[in-house]
Amino acid sequence: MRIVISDLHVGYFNNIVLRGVNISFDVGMYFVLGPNGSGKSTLMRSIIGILRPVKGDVLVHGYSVFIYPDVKRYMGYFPHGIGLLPDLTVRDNFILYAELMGIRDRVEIHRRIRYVSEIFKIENLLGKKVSELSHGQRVRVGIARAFIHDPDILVFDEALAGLDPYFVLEIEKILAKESSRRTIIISTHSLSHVQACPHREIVLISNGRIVFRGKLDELLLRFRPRRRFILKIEGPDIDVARILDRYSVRYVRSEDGWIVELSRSDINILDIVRDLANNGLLVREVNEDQDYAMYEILKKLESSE
Amino acid sequence: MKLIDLTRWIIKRIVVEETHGLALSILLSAIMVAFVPLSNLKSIIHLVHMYGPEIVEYLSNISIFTGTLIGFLASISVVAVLVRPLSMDRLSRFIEIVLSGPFTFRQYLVSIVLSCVLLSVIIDAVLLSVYAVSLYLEASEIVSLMVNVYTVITGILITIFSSLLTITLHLAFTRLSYKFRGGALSLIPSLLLYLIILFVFKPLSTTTPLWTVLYIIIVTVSVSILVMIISIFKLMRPEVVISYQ
Repeated sequence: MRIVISDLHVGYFNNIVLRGVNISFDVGMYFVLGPNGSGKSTLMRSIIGILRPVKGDVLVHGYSVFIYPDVKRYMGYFPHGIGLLPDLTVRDNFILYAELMGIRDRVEIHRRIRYVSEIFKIENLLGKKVSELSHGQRVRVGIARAFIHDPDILVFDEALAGLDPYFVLEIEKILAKESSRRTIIISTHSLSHVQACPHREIVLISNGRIVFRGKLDELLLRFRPRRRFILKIEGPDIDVARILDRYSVRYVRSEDGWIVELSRSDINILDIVRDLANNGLLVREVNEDQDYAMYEILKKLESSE
Repeated sequence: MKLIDLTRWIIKRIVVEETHGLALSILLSAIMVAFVPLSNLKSIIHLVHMYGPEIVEYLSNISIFTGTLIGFLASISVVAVLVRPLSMDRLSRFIEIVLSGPFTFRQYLVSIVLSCVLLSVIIDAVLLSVYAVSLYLEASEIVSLMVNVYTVITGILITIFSSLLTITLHLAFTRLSYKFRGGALSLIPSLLLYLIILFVFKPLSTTTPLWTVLYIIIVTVSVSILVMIISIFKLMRPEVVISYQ
């Protein structure tokens, strides 16, 4: 295992946020999922060695990240808030980070900058000041920066927040490819970010404790959240409503389309879509509202606690 | 990461980020150093001519108070170039990137102190050179009276301690509220130190320079260390540094 976290207790100003976290990560891509205030950022900061634990330890390649800070050379980090210097160019930000991580050779630094710029398609941004970039461009630059020193382990704290779905998909594709030889940990509060990589492992954190670890299917099966879909359907509203009434669903017509909430877990949305199509209605899009599922899971967790 | 590497990185980073600020602040201080003390030079020469060489004994502390003034001006430059990146680090969350590097939080704090000391020595050296050259051009015979080892020691001491004090208090202020961004407030401690020294010890007195220097050391070091000890226990923690509100 590349990262082993044992009995980790971390707090801010005597307020304990993480309460006995035990988990390990190997090569691959992981999503740390949880609502705001659940302890995701605290866990990310502890993994990278920024916050010292009250109790417990984080071992990276077998060494405590707090006692042997040199192991952090093998780690890349994207903080919540990106952490770029706004008055400097993207290139200068990259150079400073590479030097911070111990790369001295200027030629090597520029070779690495060229490499990550190609992967993340940011060659045209290198000479620009960070303050001139859009949020999406900054995120791309922030993620690219974490790869500058070719680390084994990457920790991304809320890197995908506030981005459009297309962009999230593009970034996730790149990260999925890179995860064949690296450990990539991404924290997020949105289940929709996991949707693009359903076969990846999810770690669910709530109130400073790990409450679930597994795949997306397993998570949905265990908590059986009510699922909500947004359907874009062409055809008379009265016909759509008539068909939806046949199922045990709640629905409402909105500007975005038909919002359909399945009341029972045994109802398959595909059956409904098929029924709509068989009745001459054209279903253009079917999207699941993953944030609603997340909300449902958390509600169940709270009630069980 | 070795301490020296990290200190070098911090200094380099300040130079990259604060090139204009550093140049402008040194230039302004140099102009003040070159013109303000020189404006009093004529009256000093006049006193020497009027009362003879024995007046030199009364003027012996002038060199130390000149050092205090130069040290105070240099500390403004040091604070100006150090506090802004430190504030920006917290606001932009770059501090988390810095702390994700291969070193401990304690090493990071020590490197900030080392950077502060290095910058203090460099900026003091620049200002003292400007002052000595300006004096030499104006009246070469008075240079030894106005610039000596006491001037250098006092200047560097005042710069180092008032800068450290200012940076520590800046952290305390920003911890209390993110609305404090250093700026004018960060100058208060060094200004206070300067005024204490100036008002308690008069420049024209018969006190020996050694006692004046000792007095300055006691005031500066004790005030700074007291504040820093409290801060180290209460404020110098990663969670304080990474939080910006």
